[in-house]
Amino acid sequence: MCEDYYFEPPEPPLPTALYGFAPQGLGTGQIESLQGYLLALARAHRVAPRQLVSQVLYPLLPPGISPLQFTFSWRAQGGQLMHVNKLARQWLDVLQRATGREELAKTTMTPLQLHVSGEGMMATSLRHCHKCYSEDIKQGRVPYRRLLWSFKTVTCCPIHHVNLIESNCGKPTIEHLPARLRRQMGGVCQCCSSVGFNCIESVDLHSSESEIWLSEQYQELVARLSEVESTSMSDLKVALINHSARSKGGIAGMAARAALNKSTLWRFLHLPSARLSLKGMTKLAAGEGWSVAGLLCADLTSRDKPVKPRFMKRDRVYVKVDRVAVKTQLEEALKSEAPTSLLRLQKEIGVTYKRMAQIFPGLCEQIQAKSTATRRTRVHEIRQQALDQAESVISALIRNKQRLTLRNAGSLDGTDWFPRQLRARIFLTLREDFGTKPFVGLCPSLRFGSDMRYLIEEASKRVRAQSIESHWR
Amino acid sequence: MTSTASTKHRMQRSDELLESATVEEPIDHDNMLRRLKRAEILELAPELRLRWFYLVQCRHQELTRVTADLLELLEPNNEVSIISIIGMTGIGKTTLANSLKTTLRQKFFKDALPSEAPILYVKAPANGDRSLSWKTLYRRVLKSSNEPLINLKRASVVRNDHLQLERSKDSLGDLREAIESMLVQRNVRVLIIDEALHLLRFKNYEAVMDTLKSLADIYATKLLLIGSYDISKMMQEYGQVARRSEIIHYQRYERGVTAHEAEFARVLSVMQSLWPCNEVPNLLAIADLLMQTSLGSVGLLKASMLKLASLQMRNHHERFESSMLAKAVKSSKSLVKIEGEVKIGEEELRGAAYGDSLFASDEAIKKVVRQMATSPKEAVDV
Repeated sequence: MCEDYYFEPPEPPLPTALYGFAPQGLGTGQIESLQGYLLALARAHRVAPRQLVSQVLYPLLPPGISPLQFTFSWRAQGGQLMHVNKLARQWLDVLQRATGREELAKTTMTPLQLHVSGEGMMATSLRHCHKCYSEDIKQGRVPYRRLLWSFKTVTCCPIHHVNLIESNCGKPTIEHLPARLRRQMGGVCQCCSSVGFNCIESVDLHSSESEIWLSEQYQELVARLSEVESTSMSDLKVALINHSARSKGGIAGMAARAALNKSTLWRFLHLPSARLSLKGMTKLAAGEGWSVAGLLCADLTSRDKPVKPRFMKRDRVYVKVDRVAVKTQLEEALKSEAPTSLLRLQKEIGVTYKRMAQIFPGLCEQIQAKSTATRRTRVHEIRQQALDQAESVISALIRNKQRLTLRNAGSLDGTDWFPRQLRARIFLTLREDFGTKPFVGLCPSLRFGSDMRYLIEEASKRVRAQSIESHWR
Repeated sequence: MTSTASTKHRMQRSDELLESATVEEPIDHDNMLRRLKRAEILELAPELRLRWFYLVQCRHQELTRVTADLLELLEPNNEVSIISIIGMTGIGKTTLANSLKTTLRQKFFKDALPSEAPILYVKAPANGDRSLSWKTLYRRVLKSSNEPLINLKRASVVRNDHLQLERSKDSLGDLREAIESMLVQRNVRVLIIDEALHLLRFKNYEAVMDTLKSLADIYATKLLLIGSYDISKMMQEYGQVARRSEIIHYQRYERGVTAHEAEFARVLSVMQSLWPCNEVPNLLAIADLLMQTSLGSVGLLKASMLKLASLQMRNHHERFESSMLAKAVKSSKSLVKIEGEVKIGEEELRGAAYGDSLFASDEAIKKVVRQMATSPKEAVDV
């Protein structure tokens, strides 16, 4: 360019459509999940998440992909965003382009897409650790959803060692906000907008050793995702094959220690395209005393004693059975009036029910018949109770000339009536007889057995008679 | 066609050509044109040649001085938060601001992330209301930062550990909160507001300045106001602003000052050397007259030269005729009006601009140098 003149420079490029702040907990095992990050983006832009998705992200989708593929229920299917499948990769790509942040891959499990299959990986419901949320609030942060809580097998917090709780509102329905005032935000109850889910009564259920071990393993895995991504599966398989050649029992021994099928493990090790699920890899690591992240990084140095997480199959233990003692206990169980079952006896006596049935087939059959009868009686009592409740409530509503809705039923007896409850289903079936409101969906009466349907029909006759009587009064 | 009709037709086509060449939004072939030299563009169509000539900006001393002053004041670590560039109409303030966006980005914000917008440029709205439309200004600021869903912003507050949505949508409060959040998230360090007269023409300019100052305080964002001499009085009188503000006076070249006349002539010779037609008029010969008709403003000179070039391009065989000068330069009456306003403005700004301090004159500097040289340095105990 000449010193005497210059050209008007081009306009600098516009910034990306969305803000590009870093996800919380970046580089640690407590990193924010992609779902939580999307909610945080919506909060920062001061718009509803659905508006952000439909009006900003959908136009950024690659051609040939319909926005309909991306509509889902945030609560039930939000875990899809963090998965290893194609849908998650597309979401990740769109968000990376919209924010300019390449590190967003660490908020999902897509770095593992070549290492594990996605089977059974993600939880289908939202869960959280209330202590983590409380700490976030104390430190002045907005509570955020961790990626770790999205794993199906993680049931406790690795920091506080308490069970994760379902992110369902703890307040009754009547105190929920109307839909127009609700806002979907990470760490905030959608129903009552309580920050940090303080609407749920926090009960510290301490977790077992295996649950804590699992959550710590997955926390380490989340922290080392970039390391895992750079590890080649073929190198890992070669290392595992070499290890199996040196270890006790070879592949069969490894499979036994990991509670996996030998054929599954053999296939995984010898076929280049075969992958285990994350649960399978966890079992393999647990059986050999490796860490899960170490296994996926091909670091096969044993650190700890092998640990048996609760989801692994039990070892077969052969003990000599004291037949006299077992027979006595079985006869006592048969005579007593307390409800019992073969599974319960198995736990008490310490002998498997199959073994007991082998030794004392007659006694076991009698116990089974008794427990079946007890169970049927109990079920019948529950159903009768539900039927009585539904009938009494519907009669009361007819007498009071109120509309036959679940809401009115709840306000009459002061409890919550949800469509999935048995008494609510009976209520709706009884109401259907009156044609008050068309019942949308599967008719609940079809789900009952014949005896239950008979009882409901009888109840329906009584209620109809009462309604006619009240009409003419 | 008669000669009058043909002249009128030529004028009309010349206006269309000039209008298409001087659009502010970038045209697709701008990048291609920036790479070409004069010899190469002479083979192109008239529209493209005129556009090339429009994109050319001449360097001159006053521009260099103003740019250097601006870059000094825009250093991130100083107390100055409101800077105003004041100069006569058409001198080139907006052109300077546009080229500054790229210069600032290269100098201070090389490592900016793709989601950041360190420099934002907006024009203050003039919608004819009795007071400033803050909503319109805020919307423009948000739009310039590529903010999505401006009309759907909704504030939310935490009360008693519960998050509550405010009922009103698209209110001024919502927009203001959105601006504050945007300035932080986009890491905006400089907010350029052009046509600042529209902000400050109303009586309650103190309230306007208070609001602007609070914007600057949010994230240590520097405000750069661009306007004509109309805003200089207000910028000086508002004490709160005066403490943290500076005025840069973009001055014209004065006739009768030898150095200024020489510089103006040099700029004219550069323009002549870049003339977008084969036949190049001898503009240097009438440098003094052109200085008179452009009031010493390089911006007005450029505008006149653009008009002259478009008239020549529309002429038969692109021949230059001296009579074209009559239409290329501003009318005499408008020049008189502009000059009158400029002189008043220049007088008001004397001693008020950046650099017009106690140490501005040569005598003062000599005195300082003498005193520093003669007085012994006292040792300071550390």
